[in-house]
Amino acid sequence: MEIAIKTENLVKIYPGKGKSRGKPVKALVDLNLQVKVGDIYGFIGPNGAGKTTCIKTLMGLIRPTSGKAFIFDMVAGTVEAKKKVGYLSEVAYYYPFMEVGKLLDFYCSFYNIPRAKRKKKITEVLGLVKLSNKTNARMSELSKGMMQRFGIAQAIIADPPLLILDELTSGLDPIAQKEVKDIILDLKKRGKTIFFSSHVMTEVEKICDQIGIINQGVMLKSAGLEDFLKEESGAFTRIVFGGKPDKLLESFKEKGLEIDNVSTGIFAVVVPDNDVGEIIDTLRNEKGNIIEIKPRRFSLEDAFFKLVKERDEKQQKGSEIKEKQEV
Amino acid sequence: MSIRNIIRIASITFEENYRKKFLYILLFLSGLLMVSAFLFDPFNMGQQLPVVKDICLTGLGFFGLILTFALFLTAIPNEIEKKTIYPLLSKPINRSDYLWGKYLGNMAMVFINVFVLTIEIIFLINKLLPADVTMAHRMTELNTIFWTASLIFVECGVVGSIIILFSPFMSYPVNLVLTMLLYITGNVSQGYINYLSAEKLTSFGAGLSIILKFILPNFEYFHIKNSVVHSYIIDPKYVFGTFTYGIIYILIVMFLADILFQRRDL
Ligand SMILES: Nc1ncnc2c1ncn2[C@@H]1O[C@H](COP(=O)(O)OP(=O)(O)O)[C@@H](O)[C@H]1O
Ligand SMILES: [Mg+2]
Repeated sequence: MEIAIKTENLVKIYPGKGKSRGKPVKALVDLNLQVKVGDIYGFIGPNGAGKTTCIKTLMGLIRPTSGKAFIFDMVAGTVEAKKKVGYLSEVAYYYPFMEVGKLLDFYCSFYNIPRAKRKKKITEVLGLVKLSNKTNARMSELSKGMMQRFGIAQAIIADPPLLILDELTSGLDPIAQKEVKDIILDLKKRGKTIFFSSHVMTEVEKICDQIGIINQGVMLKSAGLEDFLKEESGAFTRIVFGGKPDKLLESFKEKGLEIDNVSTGIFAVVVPDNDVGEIIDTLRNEKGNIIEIKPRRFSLEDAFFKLVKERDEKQQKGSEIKEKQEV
Repeated sequence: MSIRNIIRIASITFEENYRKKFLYILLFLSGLLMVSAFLFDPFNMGQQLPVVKDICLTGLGFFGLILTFALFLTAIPNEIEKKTIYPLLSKPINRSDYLWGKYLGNMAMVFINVFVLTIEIIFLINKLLPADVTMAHRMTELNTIFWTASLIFVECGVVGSIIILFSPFMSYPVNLVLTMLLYITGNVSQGYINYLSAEKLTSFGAGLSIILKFILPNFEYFHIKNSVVHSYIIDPKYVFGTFTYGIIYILIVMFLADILFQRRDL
């Protein structure tokens, strides 16, 4: 099993200035990360979790306080390692005065690829990200979605085996997100390893092979996508109903079900799959309108909140034990 | 370090600069100042040659410095702030390549501007020289203009390298003030430092003054304008020596700048 990205107890402490009013910020705490060659790895966590910090360390843009990072067994950030990586930064701006094709050529020139070959590459890559008709446009004329696609183009221009993409889909509308998702799948088919971060759990995570969830600089869980989704998937069903529900609500409450008031006169309950028949019978008997019946899949968002909750509880227990010991 | 990468980064820096309109305005105004000194003979006392020389060369030095400050102060901070540095530094390049590329790209712009004005000055002075001077004399006169301009250019290079040294760590107002202070100190202090070391006040004071003498750039060396204005003889060896001094100074400052920039979190 070949490893594309590896970190060993990566720690980054930002000296406290400005933003944090003097307190040092622990952005990464003993982060151990491993990404296999050929995988799509989704690095998920809320704002401020430490995703960008980790990625910048992988690109040699910042120095870790301690710990090590490797790209294909080369020290991250060295010229040799950078030859193997295409990188898209979180906030990406490009020289606005340059033309799309010329700027790509500029970035490509650092890989010592002969001019004729570069030209072919640029045409090919611009086709892949659907910017062929913008080759001669100024960068300043591109829309946000196009800019993000250009970002992918400049990352893959020299055909590196690994792509590191920070906040790949953030700030894009659903159509642009879909376009980006398709490009990523296409790249996977070409044998690329893809590591991307995101603070929102969108549809895109469904294309991941592996997912890592990070919060406050700590990796909460890193596992295969199925591992996250199998936990409770299909175990519950959500039933939305309306009508004259006074009696219904009472009987549901007796059963201990939680009732969600969707809008005026419309309610929803989440019930174990086994009880669905019974609930539908009750609804029929009481002349309620059944509006929707849908299996409730366990989403990544649920997984995330669960992990954070578990951790908080653990920490609380930990501190309680400590307190007891101190007493 | 890779020379090719440095050239690539220098080129794109240059490409960015030549779109800056204020450069053309600055160049135009400086050129205008020189031509008007030539046309209007402001003091009208049959002293036109030295007066025009003085105005032109002072103008050139001033113009060079303003240009250097304008280009270098924002060069790196802007790229860090606007994040255009990320896609670039993630390519297989060293930070040293980037630093030198930025330096040389901006210096190329300074060079072209100083060069254009120098040609203008040489042209004006050539016109002002009496028709009956010998060819040898004429060449010497014009040569000294060229030397003065070369030293002004190297001086700009020293100032530029100092700005680059500070710029990843300072906001540009602070950098501006600090570099200006260094420039002024480097201009006035040498005599004072010599005096201090001659007095040998205390061994500490003497030691300090020697250290200062070596650390501070001695900008006075570069200013040969007064001799040129009065057509004194100038030793080419002096010009060459000072030129070398400037280049070595730049190399040392850039070396330090590189060490600091390598450690900078971006
Ligand atoms: N340059 C910096 N100086 C100080 N603190 C920083 C700096 N960059 C990020 N941080 C802090 O480090 C933590 C992690 O930030 P970041 O890696 O950007 O998170 P993410 O990308 O997951 O949103 C945050 O608390 C953030 O405020
Ligand atoms: Mg981020």
